[in-house]
Amino acid sequence: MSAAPVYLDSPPPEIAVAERVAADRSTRRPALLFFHSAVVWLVVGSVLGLVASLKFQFPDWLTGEAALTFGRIRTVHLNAVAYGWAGMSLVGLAVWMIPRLVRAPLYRPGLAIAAAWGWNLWLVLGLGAILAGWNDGLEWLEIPYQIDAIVVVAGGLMAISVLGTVARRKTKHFYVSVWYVLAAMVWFPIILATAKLPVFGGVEQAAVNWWYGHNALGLFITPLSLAGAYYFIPKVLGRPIQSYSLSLVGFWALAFFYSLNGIHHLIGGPLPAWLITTSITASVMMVIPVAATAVNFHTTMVGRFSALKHSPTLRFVVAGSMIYTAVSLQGSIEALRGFNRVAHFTHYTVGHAHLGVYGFASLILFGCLYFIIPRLVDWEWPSDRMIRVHFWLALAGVAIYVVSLCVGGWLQGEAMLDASRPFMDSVNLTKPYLVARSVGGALMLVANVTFAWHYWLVVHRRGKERLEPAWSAPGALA
Amino acid sequence: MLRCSGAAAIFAAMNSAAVYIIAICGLGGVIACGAFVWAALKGEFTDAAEAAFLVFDEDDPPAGPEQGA
Repeated sequence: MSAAPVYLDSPPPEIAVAERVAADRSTRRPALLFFHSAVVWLVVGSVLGLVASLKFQFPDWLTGEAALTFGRIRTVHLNAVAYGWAGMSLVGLAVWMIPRLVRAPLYRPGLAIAAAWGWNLWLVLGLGAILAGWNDGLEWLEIPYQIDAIVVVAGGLMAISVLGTVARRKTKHFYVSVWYVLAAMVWFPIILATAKLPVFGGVEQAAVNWWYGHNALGLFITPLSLAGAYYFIPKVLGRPIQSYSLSLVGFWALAFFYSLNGIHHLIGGPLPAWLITTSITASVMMVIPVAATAVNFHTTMVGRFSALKHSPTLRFVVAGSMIYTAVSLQGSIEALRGFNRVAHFTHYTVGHAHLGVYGFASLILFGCLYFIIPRLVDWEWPSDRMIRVHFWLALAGVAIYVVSLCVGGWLQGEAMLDASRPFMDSVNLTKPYLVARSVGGALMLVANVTFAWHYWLVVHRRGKERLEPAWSAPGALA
Repeated sequence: MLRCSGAAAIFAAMNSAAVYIIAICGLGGVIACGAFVWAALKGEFTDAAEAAFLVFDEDDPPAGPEQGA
């Protein structure tokens, strides 16, 4: 007979409950502020994304004002969804999750609240600057560095709050999600500050630009999203992750291999061959952490897939986790010179990016929010149907979007490489795929608006009343 | 053939992004290795099975109909 697992990190139940209530109460206001803001940025960013996509079908639409042209609208879309939606909701997730995992109240919640306001101020000013035509001219780094100073301060306040919480932990171990959150909190300011150093120029700047751009996804969005998946899959299933040791292998492998990946965006560029080869090697090495994570999630789910029917949290998080495996392996293949030769400079890359930020990170985030929000506002989601509609629209939207752009992008790349064909062939053949892109984008927009509307309802406590208490509610333990 | 004095060579090198990137990556590597060694010495990797249960709480409220198990 196998012995039950020893639960050394667990205090007596009454103490555990008191600590949990204190932790949840301390995070309620800052976490909600981050989540409210993130949902607003999600809607703003999604609308702008669809507008940008429709401009491929209607190139003369909204061209009267410079602020409404493709270059600015598309850039604001990227920054709004990457830093506004994904960034703010992931930080909110970290704020909510860390005190629970270390059994300590959030250290100085006021700092986290100030960080949320600062983050919003940074985005409002930064996106306004981009619309006005003032930007730093580097992808993922368009917001002018003068305005970026705000997010450096906000990020610093956030880091003090989270690191201070961890320093006051009452647990013996770090759960793997804590490792991911701590790493992201350290990595993000380093890569942002480095990329913004005013010392780079020319080819070097391009190298640093893509070193940052890829790491913003891999060392900020990815670890925080995986932290959520590692928290909620076991939590909802009621069983621990299949191999905790393997989860640590995944974390440390990501930590050691990911940071060199970005230069594969410049394959064929005027950079030293060793630099690009190193990046390709690191990109392929990413198979190790991805496989470790995928095997762990899958084996944890084995025999329990029926739970997906009942739990929206699990449904979104597991779908996002599966897509993480797919998009990561796709990324490793894209980094290979032979594949990159065709896919580079095409719509293929755009499809890949959306599979990562929407299919992987956003689906996990939606799942996390379906779990967290009722516990923060003490009110259950009013409509099961709206959750189902949201899930299937989001999944169908991203699938149509990614498949169409990957197929169209590949054909585009082959046409561009064929010297016997005029360049315009490579443009014209993408037209039907760009229509499909707009259809997929429209479905994602409807999914996001459905979610935002549902979010508004639950936050304003509309619809059915929650039957069980949410421990974060004031007086829940009284 | 262009010749640089020692100081000029250092100045030229300082103008290269590689200096900053290598320095920052080196700092990141030191931080990562330090964290790894610190974690190993703290026993984070020796009795990991306990940590897997940190995600559970005694006081988890019963899941609603949408939340499943």
